[in-house]
Amino acid sequence: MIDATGLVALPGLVDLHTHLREPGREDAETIETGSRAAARGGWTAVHAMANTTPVADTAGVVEQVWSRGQEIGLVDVYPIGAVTVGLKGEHLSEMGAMAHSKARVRLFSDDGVCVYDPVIMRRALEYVKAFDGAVVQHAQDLRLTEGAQMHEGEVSAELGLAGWPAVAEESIVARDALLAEHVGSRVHVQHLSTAGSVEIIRWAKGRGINVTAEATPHHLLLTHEEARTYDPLFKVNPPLRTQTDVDALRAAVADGTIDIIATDHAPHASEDKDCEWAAASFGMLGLETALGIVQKVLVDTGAATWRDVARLMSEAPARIGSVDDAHGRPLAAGEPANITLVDPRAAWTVRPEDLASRARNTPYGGIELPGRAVITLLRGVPTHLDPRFEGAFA
Amino acid sequence: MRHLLSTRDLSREDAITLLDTAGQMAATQEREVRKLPTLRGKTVVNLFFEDSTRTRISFEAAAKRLSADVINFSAKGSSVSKGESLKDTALTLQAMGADAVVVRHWASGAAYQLAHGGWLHGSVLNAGDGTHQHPTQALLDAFTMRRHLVSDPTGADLAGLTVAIVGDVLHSRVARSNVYLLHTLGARVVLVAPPTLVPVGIEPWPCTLVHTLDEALETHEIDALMMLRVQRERMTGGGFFPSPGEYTRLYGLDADRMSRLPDHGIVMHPGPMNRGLEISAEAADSSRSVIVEQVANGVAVRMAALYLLLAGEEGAS
Amino acid sequence: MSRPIVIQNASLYGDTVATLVVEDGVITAVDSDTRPEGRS
Repeated sequence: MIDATGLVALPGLVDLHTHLREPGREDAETIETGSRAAARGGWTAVHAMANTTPVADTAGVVEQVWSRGQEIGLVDVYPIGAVTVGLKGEHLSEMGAMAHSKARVRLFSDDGVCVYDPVIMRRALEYVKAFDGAVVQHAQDLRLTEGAQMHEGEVSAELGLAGWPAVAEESIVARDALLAEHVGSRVHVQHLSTAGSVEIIRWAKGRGINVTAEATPHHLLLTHEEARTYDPLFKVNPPLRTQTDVDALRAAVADGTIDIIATDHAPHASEDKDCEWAAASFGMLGLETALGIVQKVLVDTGAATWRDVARLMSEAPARIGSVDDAHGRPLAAGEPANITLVDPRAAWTVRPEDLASRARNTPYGGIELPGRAVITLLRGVPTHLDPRFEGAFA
Repeated sequence: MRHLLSTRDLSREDAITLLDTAGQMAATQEREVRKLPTLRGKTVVNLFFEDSTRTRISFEAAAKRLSADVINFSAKGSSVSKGESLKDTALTLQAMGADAVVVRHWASGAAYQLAHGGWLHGSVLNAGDGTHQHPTQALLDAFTMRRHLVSDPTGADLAGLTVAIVGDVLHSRVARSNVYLLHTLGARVVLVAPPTLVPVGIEPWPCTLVHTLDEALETHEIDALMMLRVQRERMTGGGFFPSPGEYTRLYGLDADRMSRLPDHGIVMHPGPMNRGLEISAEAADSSRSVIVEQVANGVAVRMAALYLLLAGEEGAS
Repeated sequence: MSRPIVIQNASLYGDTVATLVVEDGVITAVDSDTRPEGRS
């Protein structure tokens, strides 16, 4: 018997954007440490990005990742396949083989790199229709962002860091929406970061284009002002933007223009962050802090309800990822018991050394978040239990 | 003052103290014995991640004339091939007991990271970080302007002066440093650059912007004209400007343009110059040119900076 | 058959207080208390 008075029950959270780093960079994260971080963060399913070493561009790699996730059993790990061989943007990977493997891949992304060539993007969008897949795009014009370090604007001008202009994202978002319309396919745009991208997605949806979009917790909370510390923990791709962009993203999440919240959980070994800004890797941890940030910036501000959070962090990502037979289900009799119990009053201070990830690159060290997941159940099995509930399961 | 990282951090009082102290240092350099005992027993490390013989020699001369022990530390590594990390280098210098670290680095922010990373207890003096800041360059420029253009320099600022900075503002730590310092000292700053070499987002900068040198000369009475070094590689291959020839036509300083300065107007350049590109030999070698004097003043300004960072800390733990 | 897990007085989606019963990996009962949260 669990006394859940004061706790909010949500369908288990589903992350559409997770880097687990295995195979290849097990010094930063493994499927096991990432699964534990996910369970603690309230997630019951994560989609593992393809930019591993080797790249997840064959059935062999995606099956390995999927099996390892099942073996660990803390979270369902759904591999995302690469769109192009080696993420090089030149030749389509064997997406059909990945789709028909036991990993049943439905989402394809070269995340970390944009599928830049418009012809390759067009072919990918067409090809995935054969197995009801979608292309998940990291929207970044590569030429406009050569050497880019942070948002191009007043702060980059002062700090002397090369700029990553908003237009480099927006132009690709617009192009891909039009390509998806043209070939009648489905595109999901990752980590929307600018007010302009929001406007384009709103326009595309109004036109009936089959496009979905995500925002990350960090783009909903932090701005480019953080770069003034030159602390590479704040270096992320796409970069932190202006307060105007943050406000536009929050409004777009609230009005449904942005479909989901996804973490872009990106563990990096300390040597890749404990260095000069320009030499550091892009990315930050996110699995354990996402729910608290969403509560802080959306629920506690009145921009969204917990029912909206269920949609944004479970139902919609499950649907986009085509895993809605198992996840993002209603909290109703007969449904799989993938459940996240949130204590919205369990404020906590983020301590990087306490996180379950192998890497420590959280930008939130020392920040207080208002709430967190206290129990996560995956098919009825507790994968995360706050110590105060351990007795109930003893 | 614990560190000297950016001219943005300097108050008017800080800046004037630095310039006045530099004035005193310059006076000592006219004596027969130029060496002062002020920093005896202190260790100054010149930590250079980027080659710059001129700047290193200037700091070395400044430290030695104050009797500090000087260690030159050339660290290899770039954004492409990472060498020893900034952190490990800092820990090494800390172990060596560096009282001040003069750092030149290819990465914007490296000096700030050294000062605030918690790895090092000594003072950090930024000798140029990426395209961010180079505060002693701006201080030596201000010092030079004050000597030439202000009748009673000691204790004075640069109020009423107009300074034009011409060239590649986008990639220039000299421009960034000068804009803030000159503004703090009361001067008006005019940036002159092709739009491709101006950063997006300079609206808050305390300066005005024009797009040709002729326009600047027409619309402003320029007391000091500072020509920035232009790197030829920025001009080619889909670069920032069509050709060196066009750059020279629109932004180069030649005798004709120089003649349009007011009589007292001076010509400056942080060096090294590309003669024939941003500045003609005639302009560089003219009586208006204070370019060689800038170099000499650099030593005095760096002596002042080291002195103010290190001499004041006696007795502090 | 594993022992059922009974989650009492949870606020479903933050708006309906209910007791959830979980058995064998499946939600077997949702005893929805229709009182709006706050007056429960």
